Amino acid sequence: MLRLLRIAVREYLSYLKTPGFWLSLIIAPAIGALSGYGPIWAEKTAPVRNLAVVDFAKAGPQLIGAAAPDAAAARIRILPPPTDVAQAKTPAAARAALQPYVSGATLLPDGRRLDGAAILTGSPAALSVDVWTREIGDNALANLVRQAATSVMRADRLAALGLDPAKIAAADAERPQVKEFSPKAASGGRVSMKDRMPTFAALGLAFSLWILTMTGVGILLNSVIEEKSNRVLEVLLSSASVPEILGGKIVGVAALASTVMAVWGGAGIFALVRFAPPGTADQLVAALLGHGLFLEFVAYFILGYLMYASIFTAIGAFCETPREAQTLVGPLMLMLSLPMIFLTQAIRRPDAPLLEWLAWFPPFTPFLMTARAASGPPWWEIAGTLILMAATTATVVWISARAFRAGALSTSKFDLPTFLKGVASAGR
Amino acid sequence: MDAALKLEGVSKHYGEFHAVDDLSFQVEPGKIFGFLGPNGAGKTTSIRMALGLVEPSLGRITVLGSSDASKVRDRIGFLPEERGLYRRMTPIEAVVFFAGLKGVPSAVARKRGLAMLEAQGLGAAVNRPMKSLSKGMAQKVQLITALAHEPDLVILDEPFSGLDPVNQQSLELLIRGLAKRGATVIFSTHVMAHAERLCERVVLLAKGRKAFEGSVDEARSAAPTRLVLEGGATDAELRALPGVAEVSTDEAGIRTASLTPGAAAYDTLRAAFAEGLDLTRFEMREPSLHDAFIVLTGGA
Repeated sequence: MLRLLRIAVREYLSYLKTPGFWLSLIIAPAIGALSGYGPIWAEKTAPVRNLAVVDFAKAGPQLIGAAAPDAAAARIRILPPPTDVAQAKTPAAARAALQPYVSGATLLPDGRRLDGAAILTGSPAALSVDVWTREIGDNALANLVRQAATSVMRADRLAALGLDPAKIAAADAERPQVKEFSPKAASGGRVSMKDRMPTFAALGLAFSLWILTMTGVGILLNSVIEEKSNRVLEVLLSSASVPEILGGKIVGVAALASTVMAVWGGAGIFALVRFAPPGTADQLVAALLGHGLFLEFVAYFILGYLMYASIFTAIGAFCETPREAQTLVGPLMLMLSLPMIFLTQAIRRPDAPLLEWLAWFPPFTPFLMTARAASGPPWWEIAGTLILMAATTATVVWISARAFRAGALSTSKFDLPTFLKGVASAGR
Repeated sequence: MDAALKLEGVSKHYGEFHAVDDLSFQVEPGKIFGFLGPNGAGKTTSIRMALGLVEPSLGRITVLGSSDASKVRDRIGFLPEERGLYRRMTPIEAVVFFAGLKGVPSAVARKRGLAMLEAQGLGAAVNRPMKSLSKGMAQKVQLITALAHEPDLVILDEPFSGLDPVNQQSLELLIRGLAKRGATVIFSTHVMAHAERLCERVVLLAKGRKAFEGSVDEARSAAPTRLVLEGGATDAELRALPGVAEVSTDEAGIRTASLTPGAAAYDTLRAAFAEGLDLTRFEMREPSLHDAFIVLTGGA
């Protein structure tokens, strides 16, 4: 046990001392924050876009009126066209006159830049719109004009049928009051944010579990490959038993990954306390602890991580370079990515037969069962998957320990037959 | 007193390949023992079996009185043939870590490690990462990691390979020091000069089988004594002398007569002078362990 701990501590400290660890510890939450808030901040700080409407369809005022509410939200200002454009007699002439403005070569008389223009032709009942934009990738102007034009045509058609435009607008503004109820809600009826929190928490935990596993097995694989290429494994084997070495490495890296998650989790809770509506962090903690989510997470994490970690450690023992490991690691990584495809589905439709079946497949069990945990799957399903996972993990650990010993002493290059022969003989 | 290491009819087969075949020998405690043989003779496999890293296909191994090497692991120091340490670790960290795995408390290991590193001229490098050390320095550090827990049995697999002559000499001194302290030292090598200077007994392995076991002198006696002869005497005249088995001539025209086992060089020389052969110089060459190695392994 002491040897296992010493190996675990060495493994833990060796990564803790690297600049890369601290960089990833800081950079990952920064990237998370930036990817969440960055686009909103970028949109908020971007200059307001100017859109000119050139009207040959006698529908300009209606279109501007219809676009106004959404234009403000999309930070678009609708302006009258410059005089030379307004004086154009035909759409083609207007288009020619607009070119220097839309390209940015000429500014508007008040010094502002024109970001786009909509040339309306046809009639209010059958509008045809050419939208010119300075930035090809920016479709906000086109979307705004499309929605407004649709609204104008619809209003015109309905007016032709004798309906009052004001009444139509009033009818469009009507919204039904829809309330969500569920017997699973804490109140016994109305569903609140607090009731949804376990679902979000389960999704977060499943995702964290996946990240932890992916990070952990990657570190382990590289660590063992480094030891193999540096010829340290044979000395280790002469100083400690295979279970001590394997266990020490796995525990050390698990501690490392848990440190990372604790720091990220702490940063997340701080962000919730600081920026989210009051009580959100409390609701999250209550959801994690109150529904047994965290306990299930811990159980599935231990079994799942142990299973994957053992496999990757054994593979690493046969390889002196990451390239050698690719033969088996590639398909395994793909398999490890598969549950992510079903993760959101496991939250929305936890009772879908496909998901129920996949949850019994041990390589997927930890992720899918954690995601489904918030929906309260039957106890026998939780117990059954845990027992199956435990049996599978025990078998995998046993096989991996044999393979590890064989790999650590082997000098031949890694290939599947060598690996399987190593498992069979355990290097003996 | 129990043997430090005892192998009885040990074999290791990998399918059809016999890496080690019916090997038996024992090493007395406190002695320096040479485990000799050409590359691929089965030395490393035998060492791995002795350490319990590989299980023999047949036979019985007893290490420090135990049939299970893992039970006496903490009393064994091992330097593998292919050496390496954690590249980011410093020498003192490596010594403390590996001694710790052998049950030495960190503080003791640190104190002992610093003294040993200092004694090996590595005092200035104790806190430098391994990756910044020269190969020779790293090799010394690894040797210290194998010895810092003061093992009763030290197994060194090709310890001299990669060392310059000065470091080879200092390693020889270290090995003698270990034996003086009472430790048993077993080292494998295919360079006979080290074994000749250090070992009391040797085992010679060839193609997985024991070719010889005994003292260095006994091994030498397996090789012929040679007479180096200069002068006008012909090969035929020399071959006709009593005790001469073979005559060879080098590029400079100097002839070397190999004597048959048990033949006395003095008798051969006396016969040469009695015959009046034209000899301007003669020199008797006792066989070295290297000569014995060639003879006993059949040039394997």
